[in-house]
Amino acid sequence: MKLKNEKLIAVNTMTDKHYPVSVKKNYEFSVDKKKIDLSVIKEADGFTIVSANGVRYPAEVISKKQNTYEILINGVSYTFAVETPFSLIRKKVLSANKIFSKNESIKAPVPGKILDIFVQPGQTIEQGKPLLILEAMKMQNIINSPVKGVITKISTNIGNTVAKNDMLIEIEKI
Amino acid sequence: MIKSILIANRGEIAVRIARTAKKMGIKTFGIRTKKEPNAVYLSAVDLIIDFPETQNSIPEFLDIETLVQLAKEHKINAIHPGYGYLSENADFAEHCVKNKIVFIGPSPEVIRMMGDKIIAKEIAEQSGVPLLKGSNGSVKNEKEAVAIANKIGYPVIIKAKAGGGGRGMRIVNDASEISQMYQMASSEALNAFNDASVFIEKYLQNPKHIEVQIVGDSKGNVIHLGERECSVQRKHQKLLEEAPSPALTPDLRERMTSAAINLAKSVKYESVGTVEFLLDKGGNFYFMEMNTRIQVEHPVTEMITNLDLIELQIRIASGEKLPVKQKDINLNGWAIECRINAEDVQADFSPSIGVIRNLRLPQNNNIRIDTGVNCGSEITTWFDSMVAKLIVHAPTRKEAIDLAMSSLRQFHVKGIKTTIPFCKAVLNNSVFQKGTFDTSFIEKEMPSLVFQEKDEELLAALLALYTHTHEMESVVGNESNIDPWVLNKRMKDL
Amino acid sequence: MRAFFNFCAIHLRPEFYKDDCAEDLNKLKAMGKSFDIFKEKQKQLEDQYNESYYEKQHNRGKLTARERIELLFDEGTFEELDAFLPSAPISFGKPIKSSYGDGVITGFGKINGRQVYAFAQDFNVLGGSLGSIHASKIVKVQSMALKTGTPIIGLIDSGGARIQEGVASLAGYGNIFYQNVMSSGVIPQISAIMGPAAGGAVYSPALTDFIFMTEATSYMFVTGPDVVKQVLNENISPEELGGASVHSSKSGVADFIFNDDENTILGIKKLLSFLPSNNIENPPAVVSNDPIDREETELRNIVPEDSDKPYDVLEIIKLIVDNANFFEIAENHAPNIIIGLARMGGQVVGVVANQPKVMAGTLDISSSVKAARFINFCDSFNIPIITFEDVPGFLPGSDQEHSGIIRHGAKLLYAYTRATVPKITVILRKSYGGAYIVMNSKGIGGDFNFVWPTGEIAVMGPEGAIAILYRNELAQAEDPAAFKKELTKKYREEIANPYFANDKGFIDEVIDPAQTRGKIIKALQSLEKKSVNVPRRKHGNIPL
Repeated sequence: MKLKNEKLIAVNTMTDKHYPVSVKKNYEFSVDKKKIDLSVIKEADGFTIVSANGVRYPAEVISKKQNTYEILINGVSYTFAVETPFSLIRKKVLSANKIFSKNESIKAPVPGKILDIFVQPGQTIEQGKPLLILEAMKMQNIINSPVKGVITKISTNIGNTVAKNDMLIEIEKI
Repeated sequence: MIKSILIANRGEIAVRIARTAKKMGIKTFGIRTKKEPNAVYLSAVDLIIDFPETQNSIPEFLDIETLVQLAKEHKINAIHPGYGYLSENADFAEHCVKNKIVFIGPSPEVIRMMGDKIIAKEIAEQSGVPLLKGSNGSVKNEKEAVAIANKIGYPVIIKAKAGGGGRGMRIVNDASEISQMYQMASSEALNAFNDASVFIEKYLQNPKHIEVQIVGDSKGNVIHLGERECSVQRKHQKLLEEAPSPALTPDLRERMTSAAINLAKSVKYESVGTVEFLLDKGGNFYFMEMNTRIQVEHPVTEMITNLDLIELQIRIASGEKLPVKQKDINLNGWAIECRINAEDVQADFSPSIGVIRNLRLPQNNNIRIDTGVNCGSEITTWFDSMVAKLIVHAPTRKEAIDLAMSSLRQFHVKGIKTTIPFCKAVLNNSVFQKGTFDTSFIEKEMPSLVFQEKDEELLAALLALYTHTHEMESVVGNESNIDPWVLNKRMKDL
Repeated sequence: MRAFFNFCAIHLRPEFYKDDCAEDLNKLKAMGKSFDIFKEKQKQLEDQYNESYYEKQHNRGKLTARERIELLFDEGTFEELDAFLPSAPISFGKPIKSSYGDGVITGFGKINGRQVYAFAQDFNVLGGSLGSIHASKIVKVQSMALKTGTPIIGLIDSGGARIQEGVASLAGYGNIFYQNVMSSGVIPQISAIMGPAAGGAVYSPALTDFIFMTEATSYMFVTGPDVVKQVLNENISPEELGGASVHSSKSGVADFIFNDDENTILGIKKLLSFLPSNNIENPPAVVSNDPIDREETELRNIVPEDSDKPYDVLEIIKLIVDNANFFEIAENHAPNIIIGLARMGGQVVGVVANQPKVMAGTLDISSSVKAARFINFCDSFNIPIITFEDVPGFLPGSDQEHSGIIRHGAKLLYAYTRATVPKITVILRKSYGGAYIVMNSKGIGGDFNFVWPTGEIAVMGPEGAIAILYRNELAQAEDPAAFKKELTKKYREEIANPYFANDKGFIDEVIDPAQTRGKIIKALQSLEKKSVNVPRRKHGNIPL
């Protein structure tokens, strides 16, 4: 295995699309052996522009966690994990050994008020069935169960005001 | 004569009203609330009134008593309600009239009739406007809801009697959903309109949503200003509108506009208003409701008619005669409005809150941007999510689409996520371009809700890599020489 | 001393080794008989690193000790020490296979051109277990590092003490700990846990300045899951007990968590790029291309008008430091305070900032200790401290009081006060009560205190203050709510604003947020030769 390698792979975590890129001296990128003239420019009005081979788009790194970056470009969001050839192998090795988490937590996607809760602890719920109603921006949003499972915990009450990412319901997958 | 106007609204519509009032030499008053004391609309008005502390918990722009009291205290002779809030509240209009304040809009009676969706349907029927099957009057309880729905056959739609703008509306596909949906619709209606009454109507699968703008004055003149195409909707929220509609033939336009005028005449409509229709595949249209206010999407009509609808509203409210006749109305070219909302399209249009850190607006001829925000404005969950409207005008539909697209490409907001990539995806969609879309468009014809520019994803990937290598890069310089004075001190301290 | 890679070039794939080695050995052959033993030993050592050596470790999702060393050091600069030392004889149990190096690679080399000592435990050799030879090799590099004023890095991947060697192995730990403590505050010591670290093995990293952990492949605990099960009958996996995520968030033992070996090593190099080699030197400065006077109007838009609204202070930090490059430390632990390293005008600074996004930025036990330890580190290694303050106070409640917020909060106070490096504070918004004093106020020796126009400085928040000052008046008022409102407004206007403190000289200047960067850098420049007279003493008595 050749380390200190010049190859990095950006993996779109939603679509699993791989973008292998050769990297030299940290900033010289090439894709398919073609050199990319990449520059990141902060413009006077505060926008950051990414430009590569003549294409220029406003872009922004909204969040980063470890090697995962959420990029907003032209207002569209993409999440990429930056991997090396070894880290991709490592991921495979580790996921083969690891038991995936059985618990699914439902968190508030937006701040708002809990108008109704349709489930009780211990209840079995099908995928796609409603769990609760969260009112935000004067709209009632129905939060559906992303998985089939058993409700293990309800961490909120009807009438509660919740902040974004507050834990609402925990489900154990079946 | 109206000399001063209290704008009982906020955001872009408050700015919009202030602009016309200023042009007409009318003094405008804006209301400052605690929730957004530095809002942009406050800089558009001539004078600012601080909304007083009240004992009740009614939101500021819904507080009838206080608003009218403020107008009286400041000797303001008219109130413009904008859209939403109290714009279609008959009690408010009545309270204004009682206190000798001009309510800029139709009479309280007309608002009340049209606001009651059930009465509105009766009036429409009497004026010969086609209707859909449904409950006669409001539904008393869950049991009755089930019975009626079963009788007219699924799918049905439950609507708030006092509704509008999609709130308190639920579609029911089969008998298993009716109870829950009835509960939700009436609780939402209660929350939004303080009236839990709902009615049931046959739900037309995938119709087009077409509305006709009409204007009537106190002398009994009623004219139409053409139609607007509002079929690009998600959960009954309009996202992109245009005028005229690509679906209307001259004959159909004639029939729909006549129906709208007949309806308006039958109630002696005074002010601007909108008659909303559903249009099915066979070219049959049905009355849906009448909106007795200025609409969010009014600018597309202004673009193709070269009229100022707010100005018309104010003039009519002052008792003036309509300054134009039907024959003077020429519908010129094509206009499109893109609503730019603070929503994360990729996360199911969930609200995106935060501070607008930077704003870059498009520069083009024949475009108009109506907005109530600027750099530093905060988007909160207190108010609706609309941050701006981009309106374009061009000779043909194709040119209008191109102009809207190129303008959106120059429109950038930093700090929040917006519907700009969504609007681009609509404009780029071949079904939209053909004009054959209906209200199921977003659901059925849009495989991707956001438009990707060429090589956009690759650039995003490269930026992720760039950020990663940059984050991980260790820049090392020379260990700097230490000043002898500092060094001496440091050694001594050890 | 042995040139680690000179001999066999830098290729790590075993087949390359063999080819290159064969060539080199052929050359040696021509040199005569006296080299026979030498070359035989070389061969034996290389045989130890055969294909299965790499494969075994890769199958665990880890790199080998050799690969880690290669990644860490500049190409061809690593010199290995004691490569041929055999394991010590065992006194108990089944015989073990003696190996060269006794399960640890030690030596020195250059990282980004700067001298660094390092040791890397080799899990493939006797499970990386710590025998007496293994320990003595580590102690040797530790003492060399201290002698030469050079940083030391330990890459930990070890099964723990070598039971077969008995107390000799424990004595080894003792010697390592001794060196750790002697070096503390003199040279930077960095540990990376890249595999298991259990029992006594955890205390050497704990004594060093920073701990890195690798996600999913590293564990740290004093007593393992088996013992926990026996003693407490509690079922817990190694990951849940002492995995990287637990230590980087809950316990705060790990300062950095990276997703794999490669990024962990990059992280170590990045951290090192901010640190001086020892406590006499200055941290390495660079020529910055980021203008000193760069104005950021966006800074005016971040702090919300409503003082109860949260915002992300990280955004502020990134707009102020050089090239938005902020290296955050312990980001998942006590996130109500942010600490990290950055450069301003090319000079290294340590940043401490309250995070209003989490618990309104309130100070609690964890955040006080987190910041205090970082401030101590910065002070030891001549790194100026920049504080961004927005703190409503200490976290109230019996849980905090009973757990000793008084003593732990005092650590932060002590650390700030004792630090003699340049100390600059920018008050962004709230600065109330005891927390105001603690967060590097002028009174405890802050050199410069700037405040943004959004600043609120007072003994307590308006509501609390009015409830105390006007208790009787409020009780008798006709309309208590309105009266309270009026008083609150008055309190804000007259006391809880930046100008009251400014007029009294407790603040140096009320500044435009957009110009914060320039103000800080100029203040830093003026403090370059700062010196403080501290009474001579053995050491102070920090409230531990």
